[in-house]
Amino acid sequence: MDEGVLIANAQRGDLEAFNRLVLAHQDALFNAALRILGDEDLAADATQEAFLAAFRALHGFRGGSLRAWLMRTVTNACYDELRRRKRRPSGPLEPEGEDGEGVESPRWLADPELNPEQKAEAKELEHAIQHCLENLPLEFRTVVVMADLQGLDYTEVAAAVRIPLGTVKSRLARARLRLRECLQDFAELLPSAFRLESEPTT
Amino acid sequence: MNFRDVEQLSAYLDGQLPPADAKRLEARLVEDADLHHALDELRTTRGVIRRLPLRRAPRSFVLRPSMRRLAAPVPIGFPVLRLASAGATFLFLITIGVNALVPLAVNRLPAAAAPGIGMGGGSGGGAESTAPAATDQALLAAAPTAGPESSAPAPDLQTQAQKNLPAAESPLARSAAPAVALTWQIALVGLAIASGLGAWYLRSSSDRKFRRRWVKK
Repeated sequence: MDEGVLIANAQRGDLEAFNRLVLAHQDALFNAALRILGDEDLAADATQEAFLAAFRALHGFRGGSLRAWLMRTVTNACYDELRRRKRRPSGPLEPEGEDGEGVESPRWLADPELNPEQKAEAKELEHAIQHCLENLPLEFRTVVVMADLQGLDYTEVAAAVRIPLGTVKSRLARARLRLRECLQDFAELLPSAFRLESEPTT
Repeated sequence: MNFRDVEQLSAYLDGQLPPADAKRLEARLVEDADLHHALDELRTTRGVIRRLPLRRAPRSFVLRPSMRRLAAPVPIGFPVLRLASAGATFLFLITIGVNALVPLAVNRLPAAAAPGIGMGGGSGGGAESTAPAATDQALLAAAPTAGPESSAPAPDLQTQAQKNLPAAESPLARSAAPAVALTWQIALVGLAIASGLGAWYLRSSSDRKFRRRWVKK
């Protein structure tokens, strides 16, 4: 079904229509939350809160990219989650199932088919990049996640993070400079095509 | 090369530079090797970040009717009605403030503008008004001692004392007309209540329909 039709139905309170939108966008939102927060449990909580808030506030969506609009919701949820954790650390939120159990389904792993050595290397690279992301100030990290990982253009990033366009440009440039410096410490992990400095010739 | 150059390069990399600026930058890139190198480094950095794997969500995040925090979508008219109610309430409070403050300001004007008239002991009086106040009080005090056979002069004394006060500036006349008419205040209160009730009705009706449809399933 067309996304526009699903949105219109969801705005009228159709939970099934909204849940179809959830299934279409949950990977993107979870990834954004994971890269901003750096913790899977926090990211899951923030993603769930984002969808709850999005359903409540769906009247505020006035067309355009639903994904960009949802990114704004998940950004707010991430910031709220960080504030909440600072005030009072607590267990993760879990939706209650009708049978009283959690609604966790078996974990899905989308990693491509790699041999164990390649998987280990890929995991190390991921940790290195995530480490460098987490070294960034939160406001820089958010912009990088939205622009480079989620593929939003500058206008959408500005709307998602609620900052002017000029600030998006400035923060992204600064973030990339800092990431470059940090990634140089992990140069040996980077694939040769992505080495940041040319190797010295002897 | 300065940070502004880096900012431009970063935006150029993302195709977010205005065409005129992009053209100027391209001309510089041809001539400036350092600038070209910086662009390559930014491109590489962006490429590395994009290698972060896309993780699948660890579970389904669909909303279930049993969720504690699940609430029906806010109806479209609700924010408008709520804003109207809040706005009307705010304006009503402003009118109360205006009606309270304007007479106070007006009351102060005669004491400053015409000290010779005198108010007879009022807060706005000063040294200038004590002599006329004493005169008025003497006139009024003389009336009771005159006795019944001189009742006719008493009204004259009172009239004379009252004549010292300009009629338009008597306290009664000043307080008779509020700055903001009562009609407007009633209208604002009515609007605040009506739109507040409308917002409440819209919201509760939407919640009721939602719960009836989804929660009892």
